[in-house]
Amino acid sequence: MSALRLPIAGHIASMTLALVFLTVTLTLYSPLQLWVMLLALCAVLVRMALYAGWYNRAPSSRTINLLALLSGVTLAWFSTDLGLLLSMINLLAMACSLKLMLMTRRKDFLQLFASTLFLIGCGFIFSQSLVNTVMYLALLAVLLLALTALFSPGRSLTRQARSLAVSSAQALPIAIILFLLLPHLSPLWKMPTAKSSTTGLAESVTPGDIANLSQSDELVFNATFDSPLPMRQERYWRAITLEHFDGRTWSVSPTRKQIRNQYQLLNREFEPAASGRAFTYQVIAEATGQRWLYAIDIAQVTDQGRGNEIWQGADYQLIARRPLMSKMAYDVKSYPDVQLNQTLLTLDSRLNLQLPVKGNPATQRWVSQLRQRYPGDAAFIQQLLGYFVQEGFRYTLSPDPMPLNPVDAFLFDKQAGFCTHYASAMAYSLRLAGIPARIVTGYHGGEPIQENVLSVRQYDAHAWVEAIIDDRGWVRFDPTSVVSPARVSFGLQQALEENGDTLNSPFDGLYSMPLFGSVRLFLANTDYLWSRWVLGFDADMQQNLLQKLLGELTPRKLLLFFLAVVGGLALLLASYFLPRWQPNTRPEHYQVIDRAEQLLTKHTGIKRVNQPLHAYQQTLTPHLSPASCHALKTLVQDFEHIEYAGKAFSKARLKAMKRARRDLTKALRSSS
Amino acid sequence: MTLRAHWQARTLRWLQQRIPPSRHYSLNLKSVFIFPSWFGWGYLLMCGCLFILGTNYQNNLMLLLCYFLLALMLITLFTSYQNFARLTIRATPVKPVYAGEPAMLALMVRTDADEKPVHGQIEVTWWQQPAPLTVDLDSHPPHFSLPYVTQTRGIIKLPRVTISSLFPLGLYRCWTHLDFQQTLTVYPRPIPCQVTLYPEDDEGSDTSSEQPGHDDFYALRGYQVGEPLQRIAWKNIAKGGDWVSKTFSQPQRQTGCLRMSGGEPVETALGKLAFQVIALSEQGAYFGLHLGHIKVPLGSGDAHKHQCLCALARFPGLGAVP
Repeated sequence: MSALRLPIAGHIASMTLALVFLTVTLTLYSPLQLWVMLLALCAVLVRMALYAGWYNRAPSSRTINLLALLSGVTLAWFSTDLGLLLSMINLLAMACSLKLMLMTRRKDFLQLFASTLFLIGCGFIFSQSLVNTVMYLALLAVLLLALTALFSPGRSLTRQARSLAVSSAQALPIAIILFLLLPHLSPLWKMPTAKSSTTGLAESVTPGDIANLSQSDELVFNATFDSPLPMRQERYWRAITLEHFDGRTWSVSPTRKQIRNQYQLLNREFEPAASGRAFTYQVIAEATGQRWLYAIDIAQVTDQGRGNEIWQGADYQLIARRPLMSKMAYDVKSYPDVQLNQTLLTLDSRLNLQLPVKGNPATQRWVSQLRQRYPGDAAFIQQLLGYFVQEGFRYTLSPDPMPLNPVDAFLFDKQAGFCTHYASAMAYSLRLAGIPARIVTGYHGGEPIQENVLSVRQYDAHAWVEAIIDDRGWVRFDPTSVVSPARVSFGLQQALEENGDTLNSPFDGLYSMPLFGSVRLFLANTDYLWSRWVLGFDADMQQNLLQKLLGELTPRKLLLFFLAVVGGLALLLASYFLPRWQPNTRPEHYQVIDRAEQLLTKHTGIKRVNQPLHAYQQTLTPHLSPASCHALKTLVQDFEHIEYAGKAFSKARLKAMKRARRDLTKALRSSS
Repeated sequence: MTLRAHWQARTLRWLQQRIPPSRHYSLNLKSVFIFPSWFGWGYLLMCGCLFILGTNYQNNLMLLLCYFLLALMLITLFTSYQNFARLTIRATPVKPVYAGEPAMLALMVRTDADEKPVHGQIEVTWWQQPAPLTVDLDSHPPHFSLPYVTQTRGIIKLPRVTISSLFPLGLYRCWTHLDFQQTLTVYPRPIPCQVTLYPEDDEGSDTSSEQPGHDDFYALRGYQVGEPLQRIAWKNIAKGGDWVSKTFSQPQRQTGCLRMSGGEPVETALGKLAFQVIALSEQGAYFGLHLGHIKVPLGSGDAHKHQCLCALARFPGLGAVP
C-alpha cells in the first residue's frame, strides 16, 4: 500500500503541498539560511515543472543523493555558528526540499506532510504574534486540504473544503478544552536556544548603541497594574546593571557575575526587605533570547510558580533561569520609595570605583579640578549636571562618531549625544571623583494602551546612572533628563521633536494622525489581550481558572471534575455523530408521508413494500373508513403535487398535507 | 501445519462467524474494522514531538496546535468509520473461465439517492493478496470488477474480498473482509487437437464420415448454374477446360461421444476434451461426454457445453484439484 505511486503531472495535492512548504519556508526567513530557502525554491520549481508537464521525469535519486551530500556538508560547516536548534530546523527544511524533488509515492507525500506540519509548529518558536498565528492557521488549513485531496481525488475541492471545515469546527472545542484542562507542565529538559534571535538590550553598552534600538517599535513587554499606573517619572524599568568600564564600553562586571554564580550554587538569593507604597503588576515579557527581566525598583517577585524561575541579583535586577524563548509572564511588587542600601555597600563601592587604565585625559584633568572646588558629593554632582545645561548640550539620536577618547570628545568637543553618552560620561566622572557609580540600562516610560496597562517598546530603551551617596545607598541620577526634560516627561518622540530631530521612519507623519493612532492603539490592545490570555496562559492561570470553577481544589473534586469533562467530551462526540441527533435531511413532505405510512401500517397491518403511493392507497381503500380514505387521498394528491409540480406552491401544499395527515390520524382513531 | 497457516485458518473461522457469507452486504459496526494506519501512528508521533517542543519552550501556540491535531484525529476516527460504514456492496455471480484466464468478480457499490454517498478511494483486493485495485467512489461509476487469477481447473470457492479505505485524512484504515459466496468454475485450458467422436455405445471405432462442406478440398464436378462463383475452378477454365466447380468436404454433423484418450497425462487429455467440446459446440454438433463413471448425455447448445466443461473441471485429477 505504501508503495502506491502518485500521478505526477496535474496532481493538485502534491502541488498544493509544495506551495505550502514554500510559504512556510519563506515565513521562517529568520532561522533559515538563505541557501536552504533557495534549495526549497528550486524544489518547488521542479515540482511546478512536473505539475505542468513540461517534463516528466523526477530527478534521479542519484542526483538528489549527491545534492544531499553537498547540502549536508555545507550545513555541518555552518552548524557551529548556528547552534543546535537552528541547525535542526535548517536540516529539516533542507531534507524536505530534497524529498520534494523525489516525491513520487504516497509515502513520500505523507512524510512531507508531517514534516511541513512540524515546520509550522516550529514557526511558533520564532513568532507568536496574532498576525503570524492567523497566517499559520491558514497554511494549516491548506495543508490539510491537500491531504484530503490525496485521499479523495475525485471529489470537488469545495466539498472537500466544506467537510474539512466541519471536522475542524468539531475538533476546535475539544482542542480548547484539552488546552484549558490538561496540566501545563514545566519544561521537561533544557532545550537548545537560537543564538541569533536575541534582541533588545545587550550585556555591554558602548555609547551610541541604544540609538539603534530607538529605531525599533518592537514590543518589549506589557505591564498590567492592579494599582494605578506609576507616574511617568517613576517608570524606570531596570534590566541590566553595568559596573565595568574600559574607557569606551560599559559591561557587566566579571566579579559580579562570579559572585552571582556562587550565590546561585549555594541557593542564597538576595531578598531585599521592603514596605510602604507599592505597585502590584504583572509583566508579560516578549521573547528576547536573553535572561534579563524588567521591573521598577525595588522589585519582589510575588507569584509562587515563577519564584523558582527568577533570580534576584544583588544589583537589584531580575534574571530568568532560562533565556526567554517565548513570552514569559511574572507577577511583581515594586516599592519605589525604599532606599537601595541593603547590599554590601563596601563591596559595591570597591567594584564601582574601578577605572580604565588609560584614556580620556581631558576628563581626568577637568574632574580633578572640579572636585577640588567642590569636595562635597552633593555639590559636585550638582555642578556636574549643571555643566550639561550651561554648555548647551544637545539630545540627538544621530551623534557624530567618537572613536578616540569618547568621553573627552563628548564632554568638550561634540557636546551632543544620546542617553548612553550622558550616562557614560557622568558615571565615569563620578568614579574619577571617588564616588562609586554605575550605569543601569533598561526602559523608561511606556504607553498606556488600557487604563491599567503599560506597553513598553524598544524605542523606550534608556540608560541612567546610579551612585552611592553615603548611607542612602544607590541613588538614581538621570543626566538625560537634565538635558532634555521632555525625554523623561513625555517620551522619545516628544524629545526629538523639540530638538528638530525625528526618528528615521517613513511613517512619522502617520503617527500624528488620529485615525492611525487609534488603529495602532487597537492593534496594541489586541496584541496585549492575545499575549495575556492565550500566550500567557500558564499553570497558575489554569489553577485560578479551576479554582473559580470549583472553589477549593481537593483531589476528590478534581477527579470528579475530570471524569465530568471526559463525559462531556463523549457527549459532544455523540452529538456530532449519533444519527438520532443529526438533523433530518429528508425533505419535509417525505417526512409527512413517512409518518402517515407508519400510522397506516400500524392501523391496517398492511405494509407498503416498494409499492407506488397510488397503488398503496388503492390497496388500503377497502380497509379504511370513508373519512380516512378522503384524508389519505388529499395527502397523496398533495404529495404528488409537491413532488412533481415544482416548488411554486409547495408551501401552501405542505400545510395542506400536514392538515390532511392530522385529519387522517383523527379519522383512524375514531374508526378504531 | 505451520503456525502462520494455523493462525490464518483461525482468523477465517472467526470471520465466518462475525461476517457470515452473503451476496449482498451493508457494512455495520460488526463488519467494519478500524485502526490507525502507519501514517496515523506517524502523525501521533509528530504530535508527541510538538507537545515536547511546546512544553520545553513553554509555547502555548505549539501546544494548541498539538491539541488541535489530536482532536482532529479523534474526530476523523468517527468520520472515517461513518463514511465507510455507509458502503453497501453487491456481487453478481461470477462467470466460469478457462484455466489461465482471469475470472472477473463484478461488484456494485449501491448509492442510494436518499442516503449520503460514500466518498474517497477504496482499495479492493482478495484476502491477503497484495496489489489492490483502487476505486475512486467519487468519480468512478459504482461498478468494478476484481480479477481473480486462475492457474488450474476446478471448482473454486472464491476467497474473501478485502475492502479498505483511508478516507478522509489517511489517519485511519477502515477495512472489512467480505465473503460473497461465490464459487468459480475453472474449465481446463483447451489444447488444440483432432476432434474424435466415438459412437455412443460402441467404443473404439471412428464414425466420422464426409459430408459436403467448405473446409477441405474434396473433388471437382461439373458447374451448375447458381453455384457460388468462388467455388468455380478458374484455373481449369483459364486452361480452356470445362466449367467445373470445386466441392469441399466437412465432417458430418453427427452424434457421438467424446472420451478421454489413453496414454496421456490426465490434464492434457482434459484440455484436449475441452477443445473438442468447444469445437463441437461451435459446429452445433449433438454430442455427449463419457469420463469414466461421469456421463453427460447427448445434447447441444450453450447449456450443454457448460455442463460438459463443468464435468471436465470437476474430474478428479492428480492432486491439483480440490
